[in-house]
Amino acid sequence: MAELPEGGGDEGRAEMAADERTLLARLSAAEQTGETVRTVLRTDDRVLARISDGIYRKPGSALRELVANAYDADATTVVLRTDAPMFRELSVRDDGVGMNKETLTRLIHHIGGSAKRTLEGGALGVTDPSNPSLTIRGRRLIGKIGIGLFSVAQLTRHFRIITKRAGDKFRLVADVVLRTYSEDDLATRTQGDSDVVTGDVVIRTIPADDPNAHGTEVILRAIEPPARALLQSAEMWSQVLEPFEGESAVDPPAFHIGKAVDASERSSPAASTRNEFNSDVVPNDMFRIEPRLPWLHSDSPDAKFRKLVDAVRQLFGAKNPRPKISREFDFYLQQMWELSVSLPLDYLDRHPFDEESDTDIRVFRLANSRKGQPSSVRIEPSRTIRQELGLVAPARSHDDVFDVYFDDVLLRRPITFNHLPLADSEDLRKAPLLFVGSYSASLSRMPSHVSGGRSLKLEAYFLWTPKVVPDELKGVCVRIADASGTGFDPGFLGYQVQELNRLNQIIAEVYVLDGLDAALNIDRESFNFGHPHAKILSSWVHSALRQLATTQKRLASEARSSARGVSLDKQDEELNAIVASVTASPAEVVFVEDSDTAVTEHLAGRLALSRSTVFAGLPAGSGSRQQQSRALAEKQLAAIAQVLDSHDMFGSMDYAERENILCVIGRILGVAR
Amino acid sequence: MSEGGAGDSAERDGAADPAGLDGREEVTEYRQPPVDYGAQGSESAHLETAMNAEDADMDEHARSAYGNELADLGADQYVHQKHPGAAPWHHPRKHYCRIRQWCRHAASLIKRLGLNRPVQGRALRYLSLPGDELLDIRTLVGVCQRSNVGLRFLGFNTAHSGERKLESDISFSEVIGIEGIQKEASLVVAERLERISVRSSKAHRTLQEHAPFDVVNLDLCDSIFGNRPGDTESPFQALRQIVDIQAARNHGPWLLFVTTRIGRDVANMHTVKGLMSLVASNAEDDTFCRAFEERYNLDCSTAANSEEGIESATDEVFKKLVSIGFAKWLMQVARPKGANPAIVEVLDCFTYRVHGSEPDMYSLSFHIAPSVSATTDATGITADIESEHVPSEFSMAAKALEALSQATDVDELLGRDISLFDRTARQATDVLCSARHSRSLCESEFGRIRTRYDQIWGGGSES
Repeated sequence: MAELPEGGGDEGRAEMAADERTLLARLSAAEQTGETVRTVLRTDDRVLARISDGIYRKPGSALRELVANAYDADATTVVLRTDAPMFRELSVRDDGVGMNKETLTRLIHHIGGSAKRTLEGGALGVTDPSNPSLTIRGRRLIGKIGIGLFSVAQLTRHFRIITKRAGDKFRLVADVVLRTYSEDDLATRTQGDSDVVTGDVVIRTIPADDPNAHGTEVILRAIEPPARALLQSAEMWSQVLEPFEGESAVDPPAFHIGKAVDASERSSPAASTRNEFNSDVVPNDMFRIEPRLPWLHSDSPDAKFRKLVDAVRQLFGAKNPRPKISREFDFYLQQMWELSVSLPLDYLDRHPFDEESDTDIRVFRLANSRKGQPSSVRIEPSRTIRQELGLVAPARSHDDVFDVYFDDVLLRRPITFNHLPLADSEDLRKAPLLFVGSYSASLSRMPSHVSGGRSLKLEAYFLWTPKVVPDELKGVCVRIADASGTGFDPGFLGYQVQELNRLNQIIAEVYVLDGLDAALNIDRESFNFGHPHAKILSSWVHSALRQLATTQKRLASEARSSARGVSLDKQDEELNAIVASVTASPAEVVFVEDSDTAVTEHLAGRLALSRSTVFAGLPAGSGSRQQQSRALAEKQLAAIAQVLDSHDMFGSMDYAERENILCVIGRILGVAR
Repeated sequence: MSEGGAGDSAERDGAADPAGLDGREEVTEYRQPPVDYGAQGSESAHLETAMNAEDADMDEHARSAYGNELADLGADQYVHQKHPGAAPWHHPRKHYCRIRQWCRHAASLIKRLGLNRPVQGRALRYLSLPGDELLDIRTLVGVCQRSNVGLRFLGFNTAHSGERKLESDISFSEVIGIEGIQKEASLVVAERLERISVRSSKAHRTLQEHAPFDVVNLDLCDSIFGNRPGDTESPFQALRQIVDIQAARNHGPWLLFVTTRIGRDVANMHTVKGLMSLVASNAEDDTFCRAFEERYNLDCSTAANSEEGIESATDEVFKKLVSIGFAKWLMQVARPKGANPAIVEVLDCFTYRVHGSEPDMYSLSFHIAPSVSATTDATGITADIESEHVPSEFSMAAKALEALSQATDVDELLGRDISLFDRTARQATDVLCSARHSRSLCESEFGRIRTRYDQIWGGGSES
């Protein structure tokens, strides 16, 4: 069997055409000799050109990716600024390690060939020298192939990078203009063209007087009209303000950043305030609709975000049984929300694993075997779930600060257990249940190109609560390196069981501690379910869901029975009290199975009602629920009989007539035949 | 209107400067000639041309996809070695104002507000027109660092594109990294300050979001008095808006710095008349009138009350009248409706020459303290509470007159005390170097200015 060299990297690419010729020659030869030809699959560079042009689907991805880059650069503070509601320019600035000439060169000439995750990263000083999958600070890297920066193509083709490393006596300023990917020239390209030009760059080296300064700023300039329209929620506003003929106007969202006067409106004399002083500038900075935000100017950045989250919760019940971020927020606030969900941020109050014993949530530990059952966990006083179960996620040190400010709002992960219904409330069925698990797949014995990575480790929680608000938190959010581009997946990674109602009551987060990265598609917004790690993950998640469902069903059923017992006793008491208020010595009324037994009771001076007569044709039902309602009906009819009897209303009626009257009353009440 | 701002034509393109004190006599270009960037530069130029799709024949669907603002690769002419002294805001005398006026008063305010006490922990809130190079912020942050106080700034600067945008981006990147700057809350917006007067504008909203301020610095290159009364978007109207917001937020004492040209050629006479009527209203007050006559050797009511008076006033008196009128205007407006007037105090006044041989640029500083109105009890059940003592407007005006009449001619001061000039020039060099100016170019440029000063005032020979 003939083998061709595997070749890789740049040399491999350059020789691709030659390789192809050789392969062709060998195949021709094999036609004669019958020899088997062995080779490897290769990927064309055009794929990369396509990728750097933008494989991202949403403009929000750009912001997420830029902040993720800041995280990977060990930044502690990221400031994201917009000129909302105009959105002419956006910037993302961090205090991370910054780039020097080598790293900037690498970035510009190796799109998709990031030094991150490779030993080269350590040599370039962008990653931990001993572990290229960690940052120097010890964070697990979010990015991997170095295309995140090019997600900006969703917003603009022109961006500026200003970057500096501590110790450098210069800043690097790079202006990049991306070329739009076109397939027009494919026909003229020759095979083996390896250098795919995807943009033009001007780099300036600017002397710096501040040796200690470090960080990177990416300024997205001249945001393109379609992206601006999206950021401005233009379509929504047009439906609110100027619906097309035949369309009915929609309400504006509950909260929004306002609407700018747009170009067509600016030409009206009312909107134009041109005068002598600013005759050269046509105002393009006016609000047509003033912002409606849940916070005050004077609130701290932290308070602003809390108020945003509170506002969502308060929308529930006030007017809307099912508040959705996508309806209650404009696109801008939706982006703020999505970023807060997807970035590796601190939680609003605390990490779910740091909940203490005094929460009224019942905690269960998930079994890892497919048929396993969860076990109830008792959290000792003043201990946390993390301590009790030995959990480590998100596996960052406590002093590792990562704060993201979005136009003066400090983002936090908008998930809190502080407002869940309490376990000691009257209805135990509403008590939230928390299922926590940790799992490690042992794949070390499998070769890497089969296993897709030697290890898959994760920790997770599944919170069941009667009402998840807002809708966007329903589902499972898978976090790799504590970040998630996929958000909450309400389909739970393709869970097939028809549990719609219950699935709508679950917030779940999976913290992947090792592995799975390779199963994440490169836009990091979806998984490749063909990858073994994704398969293992979804299998584990589905098993967890089954455990949750079984346990929740069982507990709800128990709670229901006990609730019904309590309520029947209570109603019995009330009926007795009513009868007692009418007569001190009520007649004895009993229900018997048939007329024969009734006669015996009548002889003993008791008013006996035959079930077979009173409830004739009505199914008795075998369920406890039906039985309970039958028992209640009997008690009600007995009480009516006692009241009628105490006022001598039955007069001279015989037992059959009395039974008949009570049947009629029972029918009116809808309990008898 | 700000340092390096779009509207700042007055200082940059100004006419004759007989004294040659702005150091520009041999310099006509603000920047050095373009640097050849070789292949990169020409490629980008080619790109810009290629991307000029303005005239392209596109329908509305296509236009909505591309828009009109196609990317340019920015200023290719950016130079490493910027030329100092070419702009008035690089001049040592300007730096003298920064240090001796802005920084000195800010330091006192920090102490008065107790911001330097550990428990306070609040940053100094600063509003300014920082220009492209943010020289005021680079200077002021030193005061904050020494007092261990953070600095949170909001700047208005209209650098939208090209070289100015590049300079502005780089400067911002430098300044935001300086220790003590509140990096998450500080920003420069690419808006004209004048837009704050339009209620529905983004600029107005930004101001509202960041107000109140401890220090407001309107460092104009033009005259604040150049617009007609009632102009909705003038620097004067913007100041009114700021004073209004400050009053509405019932903030503590704050500082206002206004740098403006004053002169007949740059002032709108209707606006001047309005200010004069305020001065004339003090004519009945003996204290004020006496002070006025002493200082200016003029009858206050005659000078301010009639058109002839204003017209016949010497240029010097005209400038004094306008500045006192301006102080009185502040006293008028710095009071919320129904509340006691704020106590407005002129701290000092620095002047220098931009056009002509007499000082025409005024750097004014004010301390504005809202006064608290006592509660009232109409029922008479409780006795009236003694109100905080608020000096009468007359006495505030008399004090203002006093302070304004002692204006410091900074050109003369530095010219007569060359060692002070040298010290200031060194400090100016340091701050300019932080903004990437060449030290040697600064030194040679300032050396030329030193010689001019020495020729006129002879401070060098005295020292």
